[in-house]
Amino acid sequence: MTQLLGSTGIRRMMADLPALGARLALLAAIWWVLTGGSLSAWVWGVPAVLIAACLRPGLGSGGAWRWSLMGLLRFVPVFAWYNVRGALDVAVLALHPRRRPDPVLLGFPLRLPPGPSRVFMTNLINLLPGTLSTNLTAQGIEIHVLAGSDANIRILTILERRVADLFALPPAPDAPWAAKR
Amino acid sequence: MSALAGVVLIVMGLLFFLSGTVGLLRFPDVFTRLHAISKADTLALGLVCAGLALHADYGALQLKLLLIWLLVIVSGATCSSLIARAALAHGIRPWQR
Repeated sequence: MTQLLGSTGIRRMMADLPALGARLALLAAIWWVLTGGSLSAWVWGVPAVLIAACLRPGLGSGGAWRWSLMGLLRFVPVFAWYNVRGALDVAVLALHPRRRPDPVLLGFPLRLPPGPSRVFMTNLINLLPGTLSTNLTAQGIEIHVLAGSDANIRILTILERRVADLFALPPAPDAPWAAKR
Repeated sequence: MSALAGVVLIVMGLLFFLSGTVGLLRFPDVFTRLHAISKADTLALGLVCAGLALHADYGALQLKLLLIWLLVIVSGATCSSLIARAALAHGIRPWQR
């Protein structure tokens, strides 16, 4: 086994042990809450937690990252407000007898550095008014906009600043305007 | 009072679920339908969970409802991106007016 892994592999495994322990504890706590503390549920819970901890679910392997607590406190209300607006927009569009979508594909150039913050932003876009991420590229994100509105793109630039703040990244300069495809 | 507020939140959540389902039926392609379910249903579930939390007797159940909502937000947002990307990769072009 030692020969198979090699000294570098063992060192990497040892270095990852605290992080693995933290993931195991977090995932076990999630399982415990979801199953209401049922002992019999651990028959499935133990393998599920072990597999999930080894697969390292999260924001990809783009390097170390951390969240800023103050950034989180500033992010949550802005996200909640735009999430409600997004749901209201789509509800009006769905229920209004004469309104129909007017979709367009856009390229949104990201200012966030490659890594976890970009993956987070890609997922976040789907919860904001009128935008759906269709692909994450080296240049930015391809976005499907439901009603072709510039206001939706402005919301993305606001949230991108909040995401940089959340990940304790330096503020980025103003974004170049989104390019229509 | 909190029981009444809980009922109001659940009814609002059901209305958003209804609007998401109408969007799913009325919108013309996979991309526009993903908008309907990713946004309206996420808020709908949040409202229903908040309403149920007001009716819950103990804190662990409220924590469970919050956790369910957070997990659905994460999985819903990620699945929407994956389905949209797969649709484009398979040559499905977005519907246009």
